[in-house]
Amino acid sequence: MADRAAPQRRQSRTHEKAAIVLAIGLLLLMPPVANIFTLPQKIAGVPFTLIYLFVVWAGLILSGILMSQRLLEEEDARQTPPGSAPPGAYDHAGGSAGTGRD
Amino acid sequence: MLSVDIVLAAALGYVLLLFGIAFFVDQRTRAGRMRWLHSPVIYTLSISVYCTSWTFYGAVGSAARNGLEFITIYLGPTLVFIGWWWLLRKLVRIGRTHRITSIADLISSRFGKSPSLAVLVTLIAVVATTPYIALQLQSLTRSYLVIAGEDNGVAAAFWIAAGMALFTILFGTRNLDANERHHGVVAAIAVEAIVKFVALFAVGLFAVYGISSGFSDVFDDVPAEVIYGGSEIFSPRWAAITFLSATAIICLPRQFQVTVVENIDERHLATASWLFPAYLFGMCIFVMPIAIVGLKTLPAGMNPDLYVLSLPLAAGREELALLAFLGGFSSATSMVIVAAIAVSTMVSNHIVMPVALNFMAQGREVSGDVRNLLLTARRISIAFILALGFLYYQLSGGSDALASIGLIAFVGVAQFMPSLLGGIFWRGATRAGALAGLVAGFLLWAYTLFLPSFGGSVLISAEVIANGPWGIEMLRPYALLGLNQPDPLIHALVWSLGINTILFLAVSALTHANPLEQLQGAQFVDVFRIDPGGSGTFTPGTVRTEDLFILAQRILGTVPAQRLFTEMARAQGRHTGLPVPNDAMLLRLERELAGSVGGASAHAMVGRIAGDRTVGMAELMNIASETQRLIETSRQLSEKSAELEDAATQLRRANDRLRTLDAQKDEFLSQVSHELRTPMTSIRSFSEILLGDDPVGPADRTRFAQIIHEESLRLTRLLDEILDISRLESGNLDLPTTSIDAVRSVQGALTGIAGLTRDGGVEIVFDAPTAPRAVSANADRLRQVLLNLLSNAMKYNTAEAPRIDIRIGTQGNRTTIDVIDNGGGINRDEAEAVFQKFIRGHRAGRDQGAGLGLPISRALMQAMGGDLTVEFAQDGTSFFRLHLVPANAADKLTAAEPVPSAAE
Repeated sequence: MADRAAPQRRQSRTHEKAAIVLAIGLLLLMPPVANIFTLPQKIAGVPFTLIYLFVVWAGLILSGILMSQRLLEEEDARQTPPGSAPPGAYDHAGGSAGTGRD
Repeated sequence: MLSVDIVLAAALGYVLLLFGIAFFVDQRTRAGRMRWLHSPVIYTLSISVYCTSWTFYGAVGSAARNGLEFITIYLGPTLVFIGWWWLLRKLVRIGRTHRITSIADLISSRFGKSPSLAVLVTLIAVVATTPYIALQLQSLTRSYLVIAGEDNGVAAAFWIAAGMALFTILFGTRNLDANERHHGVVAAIAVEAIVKFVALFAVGLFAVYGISSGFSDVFDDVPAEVIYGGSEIFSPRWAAITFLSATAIICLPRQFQVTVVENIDERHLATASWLFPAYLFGMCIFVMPIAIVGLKTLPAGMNPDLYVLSLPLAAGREELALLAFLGGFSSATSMVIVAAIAVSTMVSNHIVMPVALNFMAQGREVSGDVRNLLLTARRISIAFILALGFLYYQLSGGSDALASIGLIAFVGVAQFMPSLLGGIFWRGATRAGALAGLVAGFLLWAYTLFLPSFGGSVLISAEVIANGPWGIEMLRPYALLGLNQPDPLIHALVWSLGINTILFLAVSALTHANPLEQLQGAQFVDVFRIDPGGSGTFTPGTVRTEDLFILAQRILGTVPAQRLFTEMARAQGRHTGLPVPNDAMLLRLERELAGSVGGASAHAMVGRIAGDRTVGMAELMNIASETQRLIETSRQLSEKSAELEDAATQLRRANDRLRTLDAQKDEFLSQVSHELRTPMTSIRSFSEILLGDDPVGPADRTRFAQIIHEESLRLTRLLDEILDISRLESGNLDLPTTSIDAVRSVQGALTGIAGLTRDGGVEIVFDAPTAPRAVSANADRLRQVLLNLLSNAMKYNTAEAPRIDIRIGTQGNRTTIDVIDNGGGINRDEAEAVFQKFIRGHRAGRDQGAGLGLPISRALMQAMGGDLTVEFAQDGTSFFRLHLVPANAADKLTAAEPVPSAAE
């Protein structure tokens, strides 16, 4: 029971994290907050706003990488409950299932 | 300028390469030797079909015109892939579970496999895809004209369209794959994704470091308006386009095709969730620099949409220009190919197939005929869609701004959003709601954005656009109901999607879903929880497997149909012959067919043979709403906790009882030791006197010996009693009962005690009934009990003239023997206590018995099935009553003598 509940809890945690990232992304990239960053300065010769957009974007991608790793771990952990995986859907699953992490 | 020959040769060579890759991969996949293709990177690259020539050429053009605004087209998908990947995951899971072939199939399957919804979505998809394809043709043609220096665009556009139709037909309709996957095509567009990325990156590097000297040089003395595209960059339009691009990545038919339908492994989505945004990021890095360098160095009249090509050409870097041309070619062709496959699948499955179904019944039934029909339909629709795109390109006369055409298409497909999201997250969404929302949204989109985009040449005249139909200002397409929004895009988005959503919600709330809709709704909404078992129960008994096999043969072809039926028979445990048409088999067949012809058509076809289906009770239970599940769960929980409470109470009671028993045992032990010690003490002391040195007279010696003897007897009696009671209490005492006469038992006991009574002067009154009373008892033990009661009555009788009455009566079917004395009786509160061990009544003085007589008597009576109780007469006096069970009628009445008997 316990190993079955754990990945599910973590999965919803990843959902929450994704929602938080989405909210932060929207806040930083959408008006009115984004207007704070329309500054006339340049960094290394590149307009600040351009740098700002790409930095936020890169940050989003970085958090995406971290979340996707968690997601894959959870997918592996989810292999443990019998019968839940569609046959053949996960070819290389199960090795590290459920135990010994975190 | 490059020579036409070189350009054509390069393009042709590239196309041949793509053909080769697609062919090779298709062959290898068939042979099952293409494992590396099942990689998340290939999957991600195929998703990048999002970056069309609109990105490759148009992003730079947009950046040159509107500054950073172009980024919004890529921010939307980034946000969806990183922040909302679980929506995509759900779509992929639904797609895999229900063998979804297209977005039209998804929406129609969700809403009860509705054919009308499928047709509607297909129509919207065709209408919205056409301008997009036209856009690709236009940019390809223009790029060709620029690089080859020609000016006959129409011919070029025609040949490009024809070439792409050929490729798509060759590799997109090779087979009706059961899962609607096209490995060859996916491999080809993955290669194209790399080519376009490399090309744009190369041009960007060249612009920044070849033409300029680094980024700071590029952005040197660039006015802020160029970067911001006007006064304000983060405007409502910024938010609107981000929203649009976010919906497009979900709703565009070609994105649905690559993300959901072509998905091989759900896990790939995890990688794509960051790799695809990273790809977009890379594509965008050099867009702004290329635009600025183009603005700075190229002549003012140049079309910014072609800067990617013009920059290297102007700098005389022809090989780079050729690479850029191939990049643009890649981005355009990959989009057209995937879009054509996606839309042609919809057209053939949802428009051609239902029509063909009507003719199917009469027509001759040849193996694979439906399959061939479908393939032909798909091929024709591909040609038709590309022709439509070509026509649109001709009609629109080549609008200058590529981006606006793309955005018009985005708003068109955004109409799917309410039904799609509502369908997979809301059980209450109904078919009527989806229909109402889609129809209204589509009409509003066409009226406020699509038709006016022709500038008055199609359906809506320029006059109507300016002043409204019949001069009604309120109905002007760009200012509907007087909504003054300078940006037609936002205007159309607000109207179409707003009304669409409101109607979808309202009509859904007001209508009821039919059972199949409810079932499908539950299976879609709870796709991660519900076992994808059934969707409806067929009316049994009317199905012939042969008919089903013929149907499968017609759609899948003979060999795949045979394979499928053998598999199904094996699943039923039959090693030869055809499978039995039960529910599971029919559902599986329908799902397999749905992978080829779409859910609605498969449902209709199987339904024609198997009869209409009903939704079974078990399935309805399975899809019972979340609330009901929760209620059920909490009910079970509260039951469980009540049970636990019960058990706890019982345990507590048992524990209390054990404690009491333990205390009683301790008390019993101390009583026993006490009772044993008294005779032991006197025996010891008298024997010590006898053994002592002091001389004892013979009279004394005899007296002492007498005392020792009496105390020993008393000790023995006590031990006997203790043994008796422990045996009785542990149930180890074997007490054979026979049928005896109670009257004779009493008389026997009286005889035995006669000496005592005479000495004590006790009067005993026994009014013996004349008839014998047959009871089931052990004669010896009954006599023991009677003697005990009688001796108690005598011993503790303090009356002047002691008298004992004995009466025999009946109570129900039991015989009672009452022993009544006039000695004062016992108190009511003592009534039960006298039956406890070592408790003596208040009449008993010290040293008068151990207090075991009554407990033993009661235990004996109970062991014989009867009882011994204290009763109170009406005047308050107490007496003892023996209860005796009647003898079995079959037993022979014996004398008071015990008869060893195995019975009872």
